Amino acid sequence: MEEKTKIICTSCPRGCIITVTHVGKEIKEINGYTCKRGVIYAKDEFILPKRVLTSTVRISCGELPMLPVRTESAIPKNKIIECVKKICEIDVKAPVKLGQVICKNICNTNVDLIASRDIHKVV
Amino acid sequence: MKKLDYDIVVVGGGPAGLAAALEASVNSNLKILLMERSERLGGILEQCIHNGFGLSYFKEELTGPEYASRFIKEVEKKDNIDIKTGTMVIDINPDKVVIAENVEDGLFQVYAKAVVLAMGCRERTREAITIPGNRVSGVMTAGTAQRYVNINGYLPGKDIIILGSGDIGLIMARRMTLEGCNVKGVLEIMPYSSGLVRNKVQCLDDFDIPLYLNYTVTAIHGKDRVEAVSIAKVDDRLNPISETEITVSCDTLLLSIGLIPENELSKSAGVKLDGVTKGAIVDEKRETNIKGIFACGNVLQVHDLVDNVSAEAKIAGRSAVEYIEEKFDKLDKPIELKPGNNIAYLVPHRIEYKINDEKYIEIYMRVHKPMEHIRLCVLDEKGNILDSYRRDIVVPGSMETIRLKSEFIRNYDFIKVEVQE
Ligand SMILES: Cc1cc2nc3c(=O)[nH]c(=O)nc-3n(C[C@H](O)[C@H](O)[C@H](O)COP(=O)(O)OP(=O)(O)OC[C@H]3O[C@@H](n4cnc5c(N)ncnc54)[C@H](O)[C@@H]3O)c2cc1C
Ligand code: SF4
Repeated sequence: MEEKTKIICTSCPRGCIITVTHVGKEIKEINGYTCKRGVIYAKDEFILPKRVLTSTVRISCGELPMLPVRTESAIPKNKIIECVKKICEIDVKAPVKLGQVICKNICNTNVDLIASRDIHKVV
Repeated sequence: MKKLDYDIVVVGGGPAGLAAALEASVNSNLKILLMERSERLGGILEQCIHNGFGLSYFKEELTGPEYASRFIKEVEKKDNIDIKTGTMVIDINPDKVVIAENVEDGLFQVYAKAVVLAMGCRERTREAITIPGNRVSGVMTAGTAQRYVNINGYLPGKDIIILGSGDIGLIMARRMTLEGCNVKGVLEIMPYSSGLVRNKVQCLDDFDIPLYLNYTVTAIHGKDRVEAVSIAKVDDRLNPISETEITVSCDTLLLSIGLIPENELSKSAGVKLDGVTKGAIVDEKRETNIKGIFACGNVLQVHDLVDNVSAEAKIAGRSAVEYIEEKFDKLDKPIELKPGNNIAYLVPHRIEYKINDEKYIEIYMRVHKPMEHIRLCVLDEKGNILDSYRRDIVVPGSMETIRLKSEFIRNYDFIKVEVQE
């Protein structure tokens, strides 16, 4: 049975509403885009939507109480909540350097969670 | 009182101040002083931990702190830049005497040859839109909540309503959701969201957070803490329709209702402001009406993208050097830039100098209302079209830029930019 899924393209401010016609996971047709970027976006977004996750973890002995972190690259959208729960459990100690790995292969996404700033140690 | 002498004083250590100081330092041996009231450099970027910065400037997607740190590291390496953090600038006079204070130096004066204003902006508060109701806690700007969560590690509440669909509001809707809060909805008085489409999709749709267009908050209820808000649909003239009013329980109301450039210092220095941008009136060098005082970044015009802030600040930094080294070459008479049909404002406001090697001057602008399939037209005094730029879509929430070609910078009294269908 053919189904239709609507996807809003975020590649530019226009925000075209693109319709993906599919049978199960198999794409039959893509409509409603204005430029080619929309086709690529809609395909990726339909097959496996991915996002970069940013958050904070607790840090002790640092100049600040929270360390901002991010996934090094985009992770599947459906893994976000699981990763956020994992992030809540993490505690780190200053000093931390920007880019330092805070959690390797977070929730088996094959992506590392890294620090997004330096935090110096205060004594 | 301690007295210091510097060639260039930069006020504010956010992305604008950092880029201005860096650019001035790279282009000269002048002595530069950068002053920032917070304990750390980086400005508002420090609390913007989400990604999406630097796509045009660095060709990568960075978080706010990552973007800032690229500049901070460079600035700290420069021998001709002195940095004073934890330092509040309290006055600037038209002779470029800057008064500031900090713990180490107390109250002190700095004599500057040139000053770059880079104080950024602050958020509009409840008072700016006068929402009736009790003075309860739990009502704050989205940026304040962002600071609480991302820097201090406090959660400002659990059941959240957000008024205003600007980018900061959208970003906070996601952030609070990920921290376990229940974000009940985002209300927007206008018929369209003022944030980026990308933020609407990734911050609201991804988490099934509803966006109510043409809605506003009509009253705030509660005793000590907000307990509920009344919301209502608005008519074409943005007046609430009383029949549609309902009450929704919540313990926190976040406001994302716009930013205002922080220009108190500029005013005391005698700098003239534009009624629309609420920032200084400047020429293409970002020089204000006071010779040797320049402005850039959010203190000049509220930017959506930090990349544009850095680009603009480089112009101001370079111009401060050229001013001191007297490298400017004036046109016989300045060319005014006038906003025409559906253009809210233009920055710069006028062109004062002959163009040297550059092929164009970038003009920033915002439109009043959204339109599709239009052209941004550059007109001469008689209304002849000099140049035009096609746009599929223009919206007030997204700043537009055009490149005014150097060949048009000649004997005009004014040039107009307008939207044509
Ligand atoms: C809450 C908030 C969230 C934002 N989120 C985003 C976002 O997600 N993405 C995006 O692209 N843009 C965002 N912006 C816009 C972003 O702020 C700008 O793109 C950019 O940070 C502006 O840089 P700036 O240097 O002009 O101002 P700021 O970053 O505001 O820096 C100004 C600095 O000047 C200092 N200062 C002010 N007055 C004085 C004084 N008297 N003495 C000494 N120092 C002073 C301030 O402490 C501050 O550090 C946000 C803005 C705000 C207010
Ligand atoms: S399809 Fe093309 S025009 Fe439409 S939103 Fe995507 S990038 Fe923009």
